[in-house]
Amino acid sequence: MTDNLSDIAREQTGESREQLLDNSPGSQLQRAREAAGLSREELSNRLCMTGNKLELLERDQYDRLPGAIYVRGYIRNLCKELNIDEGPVLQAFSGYCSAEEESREILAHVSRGGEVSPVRHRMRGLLVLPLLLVGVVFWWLYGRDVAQQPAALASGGLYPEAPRDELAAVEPEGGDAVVADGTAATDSAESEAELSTMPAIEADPISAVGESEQVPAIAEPQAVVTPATSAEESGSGQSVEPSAAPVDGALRLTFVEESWVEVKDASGRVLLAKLQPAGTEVELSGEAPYQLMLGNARGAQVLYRGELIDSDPIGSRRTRRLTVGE
Amino acid sequence: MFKRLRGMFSSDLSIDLGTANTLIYVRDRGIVLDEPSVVAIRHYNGQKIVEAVGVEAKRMLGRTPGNITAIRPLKDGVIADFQVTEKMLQHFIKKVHENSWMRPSPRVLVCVPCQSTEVERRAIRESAIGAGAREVWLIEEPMAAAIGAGLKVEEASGSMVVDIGGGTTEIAIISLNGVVYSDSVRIGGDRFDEAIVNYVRRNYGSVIGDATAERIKEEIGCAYAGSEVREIDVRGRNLAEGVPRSFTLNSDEILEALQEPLTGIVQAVKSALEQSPPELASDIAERGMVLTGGGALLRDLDRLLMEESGLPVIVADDPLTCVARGGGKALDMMDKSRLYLVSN
Repeated sequence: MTDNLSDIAREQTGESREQLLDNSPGSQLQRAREAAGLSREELSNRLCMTGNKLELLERDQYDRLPGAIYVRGYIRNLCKELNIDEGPVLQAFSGYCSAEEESREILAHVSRGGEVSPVRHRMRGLLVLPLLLVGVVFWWLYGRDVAQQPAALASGGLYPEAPRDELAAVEPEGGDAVVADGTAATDSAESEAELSTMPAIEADPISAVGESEQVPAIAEPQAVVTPATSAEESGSGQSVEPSAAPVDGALRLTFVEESWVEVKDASGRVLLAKLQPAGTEVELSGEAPYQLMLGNARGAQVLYRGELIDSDPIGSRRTRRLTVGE
Repeated sequence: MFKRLRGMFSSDLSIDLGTANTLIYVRDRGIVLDEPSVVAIRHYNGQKIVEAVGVEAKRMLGRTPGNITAIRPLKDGVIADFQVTEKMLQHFIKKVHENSWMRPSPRVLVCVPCQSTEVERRAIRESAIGAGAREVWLIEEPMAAAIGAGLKVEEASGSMVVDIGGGTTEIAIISLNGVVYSDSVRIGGDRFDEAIVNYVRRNYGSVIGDATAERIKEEIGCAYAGSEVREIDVRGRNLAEGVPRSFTLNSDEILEALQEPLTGIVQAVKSALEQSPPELASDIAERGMVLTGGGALLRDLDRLLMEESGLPVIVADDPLTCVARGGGKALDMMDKSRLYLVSN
């Protein structure tokens, strides 16, 4: 019984192998040639095929033949000569050669008519677009201010090495002391004793200088800073008054919120360039017109000769550039 | 580095700028354009305006009113009308390569006849740059045809390619990525059409147009006697009577009509074989020659060349697109290694 089964299986394997061989390009060509009653030599001569190429083709020994393109050509020529359809033979051959597949891949690209399918290529471009947008927004919000700072530094506007005699005023209780041409801060203890409760403009300069000898005389008092809030609080303090009161073209800046501020006068000199804390007030003098750059325009108020100047930001921006006193 | 970055956003194109048809192969997308090299121009107030390009323009050939001229800007494989060629290329490149600020202009490889002069090559290069190419390379047509046909051009063995195009027939023997021998004869599909028109005029006293001649060639044209005889009904204008007349042509008559151009091609092939170095001639005799180009589709042309040369002749897969595909493959090869088969 077992022997019978194994015999049947062997027969089936043999049959499938025969079937496979029958469908091979070589056997298909051989059958067609024999059906046409032609010998190998005769057919080779007709197709100018030298050597034993036809024999190798019929035995499916393609490794001893030239490249796949030539083998395909020979098969086509043989099919044409033997009047058989080349399609099945070429299809059978495609399974024999890897190079053949490569050639098919090239042909697979051939698609006439379908001109542009740009979606994929467009997507590649779109990938960069959000990055670019983020970059532009970032620059708009921060880059512009950052770009201003080096410029201010270069022109000596921000905390320059000012000579002591150029100091204009000192801020009480450790507050900011801002001078047009220089900034200096004394310690809070000294300030408390020396500063007046009155605004610097109203104080008597002679008495102030006389009382506080530690504070150096101010050679060019062009701007005076007086904190509005601290003036009321420090009732016992005496004011240190600059040698000259601010001239008539004074510019007063009041900061409700923290804001970067930069002020240049007509000669291009930087009068002020710093981050001004909330609740401070700055008074500057110089040659009009002034060029202002406010980092947080909403939190700053600009008064020129007692007149309120519109310094609200334009649109959705936070910053504002304006020229005052033209 | 920057070039590579730009390359990511643009496509490389391989253009087979042929006398009859222009094919464009785009890397990773295959052949995306196959249109006749014809431009229709409208004359308006002394100005020339491009009316149609490609298939639309070809339909107008021979059927245009006085103010429209349908012209073929390439003749014998080279540029005959520089400005019109530039316009045509511009149109085709725009069709396959979408221009936008994000996508730079494409790099273009153009196939040129191997016997074209420096002036002709320069004209093609400048025309491609004028049409919007960022960078232009030129490759000789038979080399592109060989690569496109799948021949191993880098091997140290001779391969012979006969590329029969619309305007010229290019014959080359290639080995080790270089052209050992090349020749170009100004015989191609156009000459076949011309020969058919002349034959009909001579034997039937009737005039037919180029489009009709082309249709006759495609349907019943053959290059070797002995195959099945086919017939076609044709209408042309009778010269004596001045009225349209219908008549029937058969394939034997067309074979007779094509004798002159076919002889020219056979002579050129024989001459190439005579002048090839003996080692390479031996390789060619062993393996055979490969036919590419639209002319290879002429019935039994391979049989004619086989009989005349005594060598096996095989027709490449999809011979019409071999040159454009070969150009595309050359672009890929260029990225891997600087090939000297391409001139920049």
